Amino acid sequence: MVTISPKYLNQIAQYLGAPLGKITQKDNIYTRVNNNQTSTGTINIIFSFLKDSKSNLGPNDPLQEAAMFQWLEYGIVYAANANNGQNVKVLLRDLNTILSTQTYLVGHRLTVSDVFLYYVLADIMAGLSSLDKEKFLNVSRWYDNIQQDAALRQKNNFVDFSSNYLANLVPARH
Amino acid sequence: MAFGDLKTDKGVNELNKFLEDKSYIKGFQPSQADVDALNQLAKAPAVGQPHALRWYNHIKSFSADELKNFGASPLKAGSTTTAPAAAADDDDVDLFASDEEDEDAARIREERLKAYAEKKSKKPELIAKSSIVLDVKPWDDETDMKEMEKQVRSIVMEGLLWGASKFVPVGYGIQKLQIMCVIEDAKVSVDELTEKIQDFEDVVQSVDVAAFNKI
Repeated sequence: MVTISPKYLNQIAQYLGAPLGKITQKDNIYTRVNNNQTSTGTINIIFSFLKDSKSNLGPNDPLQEAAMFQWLEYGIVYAANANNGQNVKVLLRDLNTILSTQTYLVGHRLTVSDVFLYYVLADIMAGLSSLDKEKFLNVSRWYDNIQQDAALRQKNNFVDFSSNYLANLVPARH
Repeated sequence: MAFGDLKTDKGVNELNKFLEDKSYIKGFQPSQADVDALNQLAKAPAVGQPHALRWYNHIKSFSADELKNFGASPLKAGSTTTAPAAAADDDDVDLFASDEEDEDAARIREERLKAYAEKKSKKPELIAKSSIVLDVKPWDDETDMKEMEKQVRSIVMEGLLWGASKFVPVGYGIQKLQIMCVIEDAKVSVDELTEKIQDFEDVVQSVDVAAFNKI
């Protein structure tokens, strides 16, 4: 079982305006207890945040729910655990392909999947070189669009995607 | 934000370029600017304009009501400007029956515009090309240079034309392949090309751009 840092759960709960409840960890599995409701597993906890917060970032129909479920799982298994340079490159390349045709991950609006992946990718994106930002253009655009909301960004640093200074490095493109 | 005429391919290309690193035309959420631009488009952007197409699909996904709620008021109706003029016409007594003349003039003007547009569309668009000299270094001193050249030349892309090549000694009996090619900027990216050559991992060690000239 792969696990993620509990800080992502805190950030999501804070953004959605849901009570964090009591989160415990046993054998790498998180359990949340709030109002006598128990949810086990990271994805279930995120969905329970959605329910408690009356937020509109949740799914509209079962199809969207399934897609969001898969994106959360992707975030936990791949994005949160992409610890070496090679994994990160593969991750960003895949995301870049998917985001070339989409503005948001699920449907045509901001959902909790975007928010979660934003938090998970925050460190990776902050450490990208300008050339990589340009290379994974679609990811950069998506990330830049998400990070504009100060309430969502919370304590994360604003990542600069301005490409003005890139003109010197990659003249062929500009 | 102005992109020239969005009815033409050139305008949409500009839009595509603009939307490369932006999700929306103005700011970071859908706004009236998006709706305006969408209305100006004659048709959906082509597959070759992926960023414009993504934006188009995204904006299209909103219902009419949602679109109205974005930012400013909905599109102004074009009818308001013509109404007062028509009323003024009624008061004038037109002695010389200029109505017909106006119609004629309008017709001629329209014909001329049409002819001009046709002429313009027939003009061939200038294609930006670049001439590149690539340095391809072999994997080791035992690499068959002829074989390597054959493999490099086997890359076929639209808008890519291979030119002359020669082997340049590097030292210690090792040679590198210097090959010329001409690419159409819009169709072939240099990065993609070098990556493709580097994919021949068995024979190619690295690829450098030795010279890059716009034609």
